Amino acid sequence: MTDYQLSINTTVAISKPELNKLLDVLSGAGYKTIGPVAKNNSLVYEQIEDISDLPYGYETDQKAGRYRLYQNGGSEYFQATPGASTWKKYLTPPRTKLFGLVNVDNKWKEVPVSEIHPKYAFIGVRPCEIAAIKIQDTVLIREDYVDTLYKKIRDELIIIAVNCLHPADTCFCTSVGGSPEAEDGYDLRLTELDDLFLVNIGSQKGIDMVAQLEYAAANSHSLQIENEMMSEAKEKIKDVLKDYKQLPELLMNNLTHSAWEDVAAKCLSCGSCTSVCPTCFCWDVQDVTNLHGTETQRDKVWDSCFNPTFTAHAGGGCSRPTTTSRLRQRITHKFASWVEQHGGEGCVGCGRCIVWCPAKIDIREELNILQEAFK
Amino acid sequence: MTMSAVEDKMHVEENAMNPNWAVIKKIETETVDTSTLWLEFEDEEVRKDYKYSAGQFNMLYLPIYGESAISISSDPDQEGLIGHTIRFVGNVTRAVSRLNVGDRISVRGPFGTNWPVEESKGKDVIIFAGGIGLAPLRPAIYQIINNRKDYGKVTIVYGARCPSDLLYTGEYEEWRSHDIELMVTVDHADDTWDGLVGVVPMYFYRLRPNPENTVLWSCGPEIMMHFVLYEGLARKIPDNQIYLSYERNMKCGVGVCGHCQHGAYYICKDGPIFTYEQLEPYFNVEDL
Amino acid sequence: MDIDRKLIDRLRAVPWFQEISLEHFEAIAQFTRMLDLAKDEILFREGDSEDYIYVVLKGRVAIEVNSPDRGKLRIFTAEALDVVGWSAVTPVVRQRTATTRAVVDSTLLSIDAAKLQQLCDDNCDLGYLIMSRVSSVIAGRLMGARMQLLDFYGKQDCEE
Ligand code: SF4
Ligand code: SF4
Repeated sequence: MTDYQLSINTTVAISKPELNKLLDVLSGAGYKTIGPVAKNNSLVYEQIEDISDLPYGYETDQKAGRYRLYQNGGSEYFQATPGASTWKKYLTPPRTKLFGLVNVDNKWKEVPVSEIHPKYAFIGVRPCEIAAIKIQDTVLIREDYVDTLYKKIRDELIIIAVNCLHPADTCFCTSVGGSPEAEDGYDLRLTELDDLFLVNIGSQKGIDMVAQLEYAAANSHSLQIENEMMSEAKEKIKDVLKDYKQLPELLMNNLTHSAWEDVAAKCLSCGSCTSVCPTCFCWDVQDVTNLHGTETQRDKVWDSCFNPTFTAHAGGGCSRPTTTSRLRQRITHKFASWVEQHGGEGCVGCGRCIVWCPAKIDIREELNILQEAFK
Repeated sequence: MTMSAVEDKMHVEENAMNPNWAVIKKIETETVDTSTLWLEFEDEEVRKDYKYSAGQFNMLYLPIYGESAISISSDPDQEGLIGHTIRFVGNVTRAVSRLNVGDRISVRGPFGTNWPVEESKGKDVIIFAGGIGLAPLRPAIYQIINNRKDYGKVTIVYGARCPSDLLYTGEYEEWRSHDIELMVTVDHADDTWDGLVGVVPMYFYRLRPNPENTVLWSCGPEIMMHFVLYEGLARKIPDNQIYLSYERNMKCGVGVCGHCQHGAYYICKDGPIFTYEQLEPYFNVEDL
Repeated sequence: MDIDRKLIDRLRAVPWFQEISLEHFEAIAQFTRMLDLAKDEILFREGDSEDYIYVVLKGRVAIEVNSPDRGKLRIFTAEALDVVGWSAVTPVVRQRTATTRAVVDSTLLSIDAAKLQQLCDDNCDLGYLIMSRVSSVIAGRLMGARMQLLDFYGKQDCEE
């Protein structure tokens, strides 16, 4: 171990196999390590125990309605752009039990929630994904409301970020104030060069982790390469939403414009976009009861504003019966009302909704059409 | 991966959604499909600490069946039982209709905004209610009566589909005795009915409000409130003195499940009671 | 004439007649009478000819239509200062399309519709005033009818 003063914002270099050591350090400290795994022709976030679990040598080809993962014989662990999987499945699991009740002598008694949630360490979190987690923080940890499960998981979460050197065609983080380079919100941030990882330290936890690794000071040459590659990556991302700061006003002032019909014409109201979205937070409550009606529980489950039941009224009917109204809800929520509700946009430009839309609807194009129509 | 990681468990509780038990102390049948349930919290601490304002609602939960937003219909100034006037139209409320005195039900709340009972002192108050919409207004009516001299002219126009659908008929005389002008109208009159016929907004023409000094509160079917609003605006009542109570599908009550969004508002926490000034940007946007 | 004065005062108290000049009130008073109805007394019946337009001064008057299969259906209850029988002053004079009955002891002003129309014809300013008042009564009733058609309470309130 090098004798070197580690502090926040120090960048060190580690060999690629040393990442295994980091995984060991994390699991030794009781963390469940989660990272991208090539599976079922996509990239999913799952438990990883060894760097050989990572999508080594994979890259992706993605555009509206298309995601292809293939081996390119390369030597990068983090080249492939994430798939439909998001970290939110760990932070706000798709189904959690709120509470359970058993009927004892005609009286409902609470049974303690026995769900267990480990401490997580996320490996390979993209800058846009950090932005998404920060957005979820503002929604779920507020002055007037705290999602206690989320907060617990979040408080213990370790984030090992990875800078994006190969942004996909569907990436548009720079259009919504982001960058392929993670600036904060991580414990460690990796930049994957040919033969090493540059590791930037973002927190005290990060310092403690690095201290247990075999590392060297980052030399100026590799820092320069990092710099160049980051600039290249930024270049590559098309800046598509020039006036996104104007969107709240523009969208909200034109809620009844006929252009909404046009952009919704292809939409199937399937809800795929909201379920892959890393910031969507809506949830439903479902009652699950045994056959005898002696045990029941309430589950919190992911919901989508595209679901017909989302706005259903008890006596029949619903507030948003049309696909247009639902797509308008999603778009206005992401780019307009979110700002008013939570102090910033609800979009980080990860492009998942574009890639995973069966109707190949590209939110960037949609917004441009709307902007043009509303001018 | 070592096992120790998995064993490092967290016990998770989500108190905001947890049940809060109350006992049904009294049931008053109001109409064929509507009753008022009078509840008392089991927990003494909760009972003591529970405060609510006129127009707020609770989430009533019945195990197996689910949860439903029900406005509070009792007097906030009065300690004791908490009244909920419930129309039995959905799965949950139909199950609630089968409950008896002594049964338990969970109550989360209170949630949402209230009628500006305090802020409206010194003003004339016009209330337009339709159907079950009188329930969330009753607490405000009680509070006005509690401090009747603090208010100017008070007028209530209440309508229902037919005479047998009218709520709280036993209280009208009492209300009137406190210098409240109460007009009651039904859409469909039968032979026994010698009162007004027609929908409530239609009777706006009989009021001659002094717009600057009038607050207009309305609760009922959304379409009814809209016509009340049009009448109010036509008489130059200012946007920020018109209050409407909205309803939407709600799950959490604290603005986090996303269901009740209406433009940038969460009806459950920014509403259910809004001024027209607040609603204006979204007004008449279909299917918002 | 004493009685005229009283009548004119009554007329002038009707908001509906506001802005009408004294001279015209005197003219209208010539063919206006006060009318007392006892509870349940019929003012006019469906099928009667339309001779008068009424203004309720006191009491309550029900306007009802008879439906063969559903019996008497009340469509409106006129109270003090409400106008009843407005169709009598429209150009097409039909038979009465509804029956009007006093729900409680009531007092009304009855105005001879033909004479009122004649007065309006002879005097365009007054005619315009009266007709615009009649049209706002009609608009109000139409709005009411429309809202009734919407059947506000038919759809269940939201819940769950
Ligand atoms: S309303 Fe729709 S777009 Fe907004 S967070 Fe919920 S699911 Fe996502
Ligand atoms: S935009 Fe695409 S993914 Fe989203 S609901 Fe419509 S069809 Fe489905």
